[in-house]
Amino acid sequence: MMRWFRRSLLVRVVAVDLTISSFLVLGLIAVVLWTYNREFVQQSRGRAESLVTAIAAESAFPMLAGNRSELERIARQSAASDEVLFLELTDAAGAPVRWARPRFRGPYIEITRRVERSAGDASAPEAPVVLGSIRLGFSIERERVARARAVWSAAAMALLCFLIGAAVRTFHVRAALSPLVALTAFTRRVAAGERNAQAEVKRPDEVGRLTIAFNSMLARLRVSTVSKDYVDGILESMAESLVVVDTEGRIRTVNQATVHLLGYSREELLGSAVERICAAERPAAGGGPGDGAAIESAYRDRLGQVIPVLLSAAPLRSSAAGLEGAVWLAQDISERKRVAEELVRAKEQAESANAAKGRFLANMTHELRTPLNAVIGYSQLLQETCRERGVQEFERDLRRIERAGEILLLMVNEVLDYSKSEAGKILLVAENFQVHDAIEDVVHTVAPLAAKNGNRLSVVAGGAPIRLHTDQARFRQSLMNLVANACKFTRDGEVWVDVAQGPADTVVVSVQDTGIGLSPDQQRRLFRPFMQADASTTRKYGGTGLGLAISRRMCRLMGGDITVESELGKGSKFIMRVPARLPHPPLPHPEADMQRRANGQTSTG
Amino acid sequence: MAKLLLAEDDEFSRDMLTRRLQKLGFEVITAADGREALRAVRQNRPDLILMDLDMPVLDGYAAMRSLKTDPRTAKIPIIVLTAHASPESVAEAVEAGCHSYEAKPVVVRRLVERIQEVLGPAAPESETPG
Repeated sequence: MMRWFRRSLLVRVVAVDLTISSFLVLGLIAVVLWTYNREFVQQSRGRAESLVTAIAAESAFPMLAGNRSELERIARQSAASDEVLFLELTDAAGAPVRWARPRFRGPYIEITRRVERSAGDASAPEAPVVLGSIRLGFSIERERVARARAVWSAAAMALLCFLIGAAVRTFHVRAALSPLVALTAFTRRVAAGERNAQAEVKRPDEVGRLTIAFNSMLARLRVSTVSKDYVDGILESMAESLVVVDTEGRIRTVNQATVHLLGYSREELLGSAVERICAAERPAAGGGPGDGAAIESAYRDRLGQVIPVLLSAAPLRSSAAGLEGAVWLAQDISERKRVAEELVRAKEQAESANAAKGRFLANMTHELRTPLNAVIGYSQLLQETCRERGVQEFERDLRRIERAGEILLLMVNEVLDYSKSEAGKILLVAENFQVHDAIEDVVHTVAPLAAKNGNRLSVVAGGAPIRLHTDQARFRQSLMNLVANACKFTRDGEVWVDVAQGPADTVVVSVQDTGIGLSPDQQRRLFRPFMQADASTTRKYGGTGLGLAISRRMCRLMGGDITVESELGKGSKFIMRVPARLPHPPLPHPEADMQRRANGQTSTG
Repeated sequence: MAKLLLAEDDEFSRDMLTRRLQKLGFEVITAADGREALRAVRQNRPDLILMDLDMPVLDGYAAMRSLKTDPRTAKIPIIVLTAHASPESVAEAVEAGCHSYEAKPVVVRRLVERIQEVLGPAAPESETPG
């Protein structure tokens, strides 16, 4: 009961309220009853006194006369009132006439009075003469009953009031407390996780204000809770490992990615020294300007394996505590490192393989050229000898041997050229020359090949002569290749060589033919070394497949390029763009000079 | 009649070039390696040396340096014959003391022109250039 009393504000308020009401009601009833009772008693006594006075007046003479029968008659007459319980009339002689109601019960008042001779005789001022006495028993049963009835009805009234009051109070207090109860239930729901709820303000009273305050608190809570959830969500879904290290160097927070990366459980990591996971350089996070810059470091996982990471750190500050520690963000770069290392290895391998290839090609071409030079030289020697001796019989054959040797030498030189250009061993020498002269020379040189395939080879170059300051031999070599190719892959058609001034001080030479053309796929592969349009081309047309690759390289060395526009079956157009001035002209060098002459000779020979 | 020393390790090239130069009226002494070349120079005092760079025993560079340190042979002009010359090897050849270069395969007509440039009018007229 006590516990209940303590726990329920409703019970407490109603109880206190009703206690006060009860005291009030009971006090009021008590006052009313007391007043009522006193009034009643006085009334009864008054009536009894009046009755006694009347009896006294009536019985004065009989008493004086000693008329007992008269007294008895008076007594009987008086007993007619049911309130009179007994009556005793005593005359002066002292013999009482007595009447009493049989078996009377209940409360009564008793009045005794002396009957004196004075009434109506005002002229006798002497002491009154006592005639007798009257003793009357007057019932106050009626008052008692009435009083009891009053008490009961008052009690009933009080009870009714009490009950109604209790009901009203209970109802009222309950109504007053209902927002509190609702708020309690609501708080319980919020505690259970329902964060988007809003408490309803029923009345703008104290509870209403409490509810409003509660709502605003909840709103704040919601914001901070939502943002915490949001931030937590971000941290946990991050692919990078995040570790918060406090100023003591202990781990305070880790995210899922860290757990996943290192194989430790969260509990193992939290609170342990950061050295447990950091296997290499620690990032600086003292708040300096360099903070946040990523460094390559390493973590150590649970099995002791070192994981290379890209690690960056930033100081963690809070408005309350200042510098709290540092946030470490680490990205696993083992895969990246592995790939990078593989790439480096592959690159080194490729480079050494390529260098070996270059050395091999250089050596091979040298070894090939020595006997070739002998073939060409001896055929020339024999031709000279034949001329001296006037023998014409072998001249044609000897000439053919010489030419075959020269063609072979040309191809060997191409391979050498290519391997040199690949090794970056080509030196360019800038000199002044006329583009038209170079074109005419090239066309003149290729003319026999064009004629052999039934092609008409023409130069469409019009306009002012264009001067170039670049490597003439390389320019000629590249152009020669294009023109020779056009003539080689065109039968009974036409080949035009066109030259024009290009944008930004460049010269554009285009070589167009009506030959077999190239598919887009072939065009893509065309400039790759040892690649011809397709494998059958090599068998049909011969060549090393290096010409275009070399020509393009040469042009690029000169700061230009070669491009192709073609359609299968509709001919091709090769466009060679070269800057009018060799960029960063290298100093003339004997080797390059020599090289150029060697190439010039072999290709025109 | 100009006297030439041809230092060339490849027998065919040496033979072919010797005969063609002889046809043109030059007196040609041959050597198959650098050491032989040095010996031949000291014995025969040629007017001009045609020097291959790539030779066994003693290569062209070493032979040239040796010739240039000897005051008796230091003044003999040298034309280097080379098949594949990297910028470095040419620079080294110049440093070693050559006067001129001629690329292989040797074009006899042009080699003769070069010889005449170096030797001046003393050299024989070429009758039938190759």
